[in-house]
Amino acid sequence: MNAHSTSPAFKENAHRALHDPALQRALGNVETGFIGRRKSAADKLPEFEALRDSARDIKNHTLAHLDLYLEAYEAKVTAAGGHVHFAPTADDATAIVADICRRVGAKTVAKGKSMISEEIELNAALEAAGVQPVETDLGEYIIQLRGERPSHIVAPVIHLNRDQIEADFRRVHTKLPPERDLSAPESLLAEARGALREKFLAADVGITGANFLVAETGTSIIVTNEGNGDLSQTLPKVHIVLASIEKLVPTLEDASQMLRVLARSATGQEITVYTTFSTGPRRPADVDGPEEYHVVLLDNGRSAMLAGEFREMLRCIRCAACMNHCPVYHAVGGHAYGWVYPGPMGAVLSPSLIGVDKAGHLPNASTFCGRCESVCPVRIPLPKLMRHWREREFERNLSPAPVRSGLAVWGFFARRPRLYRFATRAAMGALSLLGRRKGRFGALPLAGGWTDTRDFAAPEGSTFQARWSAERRAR
Amino acid sequence: MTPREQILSTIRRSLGATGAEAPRRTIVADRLKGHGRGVIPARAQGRSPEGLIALFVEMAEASAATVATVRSADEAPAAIAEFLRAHNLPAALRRGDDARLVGLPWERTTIDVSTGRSFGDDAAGVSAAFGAVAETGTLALVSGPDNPTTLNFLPDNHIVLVDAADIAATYEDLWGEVRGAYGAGTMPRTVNWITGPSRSADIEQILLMGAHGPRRLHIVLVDPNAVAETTEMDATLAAAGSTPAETRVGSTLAGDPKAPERDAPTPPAGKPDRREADRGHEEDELDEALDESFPASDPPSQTQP
Ligand code: SF4
Repeated sequence: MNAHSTSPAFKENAHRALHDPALQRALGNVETGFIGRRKSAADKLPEFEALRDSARDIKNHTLAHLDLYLEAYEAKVTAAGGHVHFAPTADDATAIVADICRRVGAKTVAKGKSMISEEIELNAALEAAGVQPVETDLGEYIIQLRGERPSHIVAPVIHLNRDQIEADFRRVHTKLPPERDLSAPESLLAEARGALREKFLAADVGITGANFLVAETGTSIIVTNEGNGDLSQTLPKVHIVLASIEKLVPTLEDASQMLRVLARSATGQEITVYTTFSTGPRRPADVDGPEEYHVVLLDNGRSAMLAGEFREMLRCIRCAACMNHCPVYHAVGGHAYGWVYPGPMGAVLSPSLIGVDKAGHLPNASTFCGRCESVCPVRIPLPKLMRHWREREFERNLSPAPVRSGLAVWGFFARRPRLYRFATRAAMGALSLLGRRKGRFGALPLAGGWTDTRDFAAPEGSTFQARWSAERRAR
Repeated sequence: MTPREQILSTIRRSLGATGAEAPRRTIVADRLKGHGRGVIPARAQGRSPEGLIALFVEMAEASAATVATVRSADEAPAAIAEFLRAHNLPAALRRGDDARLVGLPWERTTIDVSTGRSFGDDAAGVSAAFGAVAETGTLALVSGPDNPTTLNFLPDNHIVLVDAADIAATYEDLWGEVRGAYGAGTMPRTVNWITGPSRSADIEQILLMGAHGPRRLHIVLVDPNAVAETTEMDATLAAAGSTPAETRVGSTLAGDPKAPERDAPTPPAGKPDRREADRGHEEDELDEALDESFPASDPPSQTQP
């Protein structure tokens, strides 16, 4: 298994993130940009809510018949001259890709953006096989230069500021004049574009992900704004598509429904600049395009997810709307989650893929405000699924001791109503007196975990129960 | 057990199915053949042919593509020459074997036209679109010797010829056309939907144009029924107080298609942005991004105020 994750250290990660001023500055861009753009795109399309229902239904239907759609898809790819490889685990997938690279004598591989590639840690596997992977998406390229993981599934370097990127370019692009001006983002883009052009033209193999696979025609679909995915798959002589099994949709019409919600939810565009439908390798008369077309279908725990309540998570189309709208993500960023998938979707998906022991407390990183579910284009009940994980974590005795003993203390009082009322009234009264002047606490004994990074509002003085009975008496 | 059997059998165990159930198989077979349509946006439905063209142009321009309308394909080379000149580009062009491009009177211009795929050293490429979708101003190009895919992505400037009659209302209508041309269940190697020029917002969420693909996307729309809009457009532009000096408004549209051949330089074929007056906040942002990302040596493009 892969799963080099630091998810078990979520609390420490989050703590570091909250005290990182550069990160906090960069994270401001999530809230200001994505939320407004998604809303205006959704508002411009009166059918948007109906399309979300339609997208949910298409995914539910496909998942309920996934075995049959996979068979149909495979037959179509084969008929078009392509090859389908089934990979039960991450290691199986990296071995298949490395074998293809070795067989064609590949030295470098141009890669389009793929979260599956991150999930299976493909770059490390390729390097071990003596093949140099080159990330070509601007964000992924920067991530690769820094030896990091993406912190967001759509905008991989949302955690960085331009001066950090400039420093990386100066460190790596040593053949360029050191006095060049890189202060404008345009010059950073131009420099990356120049560096990557050569790589595209020299690459022996191109690897892309897939946003959807179409069973009707054996087609893989990628959506990009840069065009890097298209160059990655058009110029090298071999194209390998990495896709997980839940990417299937039945028909081109179904794919079109999904595409109508994907870009609007992700970046607030009506549609991405490039939406590319690929079916098999170069045809006899073609003057460009890959000579070989391979699809690696990754399972990695998903077929088992179909059995229980987490099947709903397999509808996810990786639009990132849930993390864009998540107050916890806004505060700590993506790296704190410790594995490939951050935010609410990561909090639900990661425990399924790498185990509840490793990622089981990610679902605790939630305020249960429900914003993620309210924007999810395929209507995944993310808060409910996070709650399922919390229950499982508790059942399996995986919650940390303070939580368990805290709940035990609360349970003691809660079973003794008169004692509970007395204790809570006394506590509220005391806190209210103490906090009267500022209305909030910057620090509280035993609650440092809360008050280090946020204030605790001082209570007004009476408890909910006391006010409830007072209101009832008044009526 | 092969990896394939392993995955399929776990899926079936999870679903409580065997894969042999006749009703399930029928449901899947029917769905694959049925091509059922889901929710279709009203904005693209029930429009007249002119209405569809107008929606296509509006959406394409909103995606930062530029659109020039000509009344016959014969006028396309002149329109393309004007685009190249307006951006200080060399009078050179790469194209595939598409009959719609081969048959054009390139000799009326000074453009040096070469043919074949791109290897990355062409400043401009021209393709003929399979079709287009009005709903989002999207072009649909198919791979093959007629229009090599590399021309869509390697040159810095991509020019696409679209026949107004090939503009479909919705994505679903476009798939109908593709099935008509290639047969149901069969696809060309690549279908490229292209909506505007390449861009990236990876750095601090700032929109930058020309990431890996073309910095400019210029659509030459062949519409025999295009009406001369000169007067109306002049009025709109005057109202907006922004008449770009180098844009000679709608002269191609107004021109008689049978008029004697013009000497180069030909009048510009570009249509100015008819929505100058009611430009929204978002487009302003896009314009700013465009301003920033075009090299300073470039004259402003025609859509910029
Ligand atoms: S869970 Fe929903 S909102 Fe989040 S990435 Fe997946 S599809 Fe998008």
